[in-house]
Amino acid sequence: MKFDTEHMPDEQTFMKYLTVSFDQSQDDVWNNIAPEIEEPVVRRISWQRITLTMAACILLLIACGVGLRSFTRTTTTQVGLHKIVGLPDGSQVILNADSRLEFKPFWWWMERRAYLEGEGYFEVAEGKKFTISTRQGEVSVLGTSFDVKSRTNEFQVYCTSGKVEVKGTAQPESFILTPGMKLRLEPEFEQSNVEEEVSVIAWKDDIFFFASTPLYKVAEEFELQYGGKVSIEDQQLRAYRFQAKFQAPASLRQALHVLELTFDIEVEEKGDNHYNLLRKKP
Amino acid sequence: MTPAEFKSYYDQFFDPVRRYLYFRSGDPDLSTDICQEVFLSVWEKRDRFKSFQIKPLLYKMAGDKLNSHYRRIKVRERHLESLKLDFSPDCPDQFLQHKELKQAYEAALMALPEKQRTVYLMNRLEELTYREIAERLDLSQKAIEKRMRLALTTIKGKLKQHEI
Repeated sequence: MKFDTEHMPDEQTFMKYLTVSFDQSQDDVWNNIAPEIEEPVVRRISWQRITLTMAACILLLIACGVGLRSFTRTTTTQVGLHKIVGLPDGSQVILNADSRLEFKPFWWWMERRAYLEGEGYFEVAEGKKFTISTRQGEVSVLGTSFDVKSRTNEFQVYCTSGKVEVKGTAQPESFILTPGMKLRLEPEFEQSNVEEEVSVIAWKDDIFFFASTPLYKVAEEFELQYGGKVSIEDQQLRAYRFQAKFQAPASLRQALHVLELTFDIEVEEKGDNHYNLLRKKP
Repeated sequence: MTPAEFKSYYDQFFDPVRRYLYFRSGDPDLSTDICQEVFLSVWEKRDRFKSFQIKPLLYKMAGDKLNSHYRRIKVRERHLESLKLDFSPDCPDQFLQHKELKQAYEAALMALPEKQRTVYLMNRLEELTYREIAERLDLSQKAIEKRMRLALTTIKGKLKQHEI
């Protein structure tokens, strides 16, 4: 400026060559603070990634579902054995001998469905539709008790309370059963009212019930309930009809004794739980 | 503000701001500390700043921090104990002889009121124009001119006593 340099001509020039020095240079200080100067990490998540993640989640859910769905509990009974199976909702199944019941405990809340081979007596707790699948058809109910028989060449449903819907695999229409009604789809179609309930479901209380039953069928039933073998070679004897209702004895031999008392027959013991029925020689 | 932008502000202004603090306080370590604080808080609050405000803002923040530092340590009378100047690396030899002259200047500067000294040194040492100083300190150019005039008068008087 105008007034500054006259008396001290060197001032401006001199000052120019002066400076201030610090222990730490600008760059030293930068090194101190550099770690704090960082771009906040912005995660760029691509759509592809999001899609993939979502897909993975969905797959996982599906996998869980499939896992829950496919977890199956199976109960089987051999000949000579009954079993009581409790289902997750408190429903109960009494499995007859030589039968198999399958259900999915973790899928139960989604669908009450059980798979049956053989014979079972169902007491279904009230709730959603309850379905029993068999090879020959489906039985659906809401809450009731009924007997399903799905044997090699026999399919029969008997309703003791509530309402039961039966749909055969082969038939397009379905049948509604009310208490006391019995429906057979195999070997031949037959719909009837059962007067004596016990005739169908006696087995669950360990009672034998035979109504004019041919003897060979009685023998088959004994084989089923006790295991072992009962043979009848005599054709005439096979056709004998047996009518009786009695508490199942403890052993096959004792059961056969009931027949001995009824008919004029002999029981030939062949060992290894094998018995042969013969007519008594006069 | 990206880290790169911040770095460029840092490179441009760290030393000028630090010297400004030194001109005011005469304490090099304090100047460094405060200047570092200023830049860190600029980075922390970067989202709120627009770049065109940055220059006066840095000086304002530096000045405020220095004031609050003084307030904290409760120094009533800020006594400038020393103000050391060095010859810059490109100083011609003829001046290197002038140690006494330098000391006379240092003494004269220490006698100056803080505001005058700061402006005077920003002009002479930093070689900033009045306009530039006015902008940085957010003052009018007239105020700068006035402070310069007063500072020069005092310095001239002091140096005369040294019979230079």
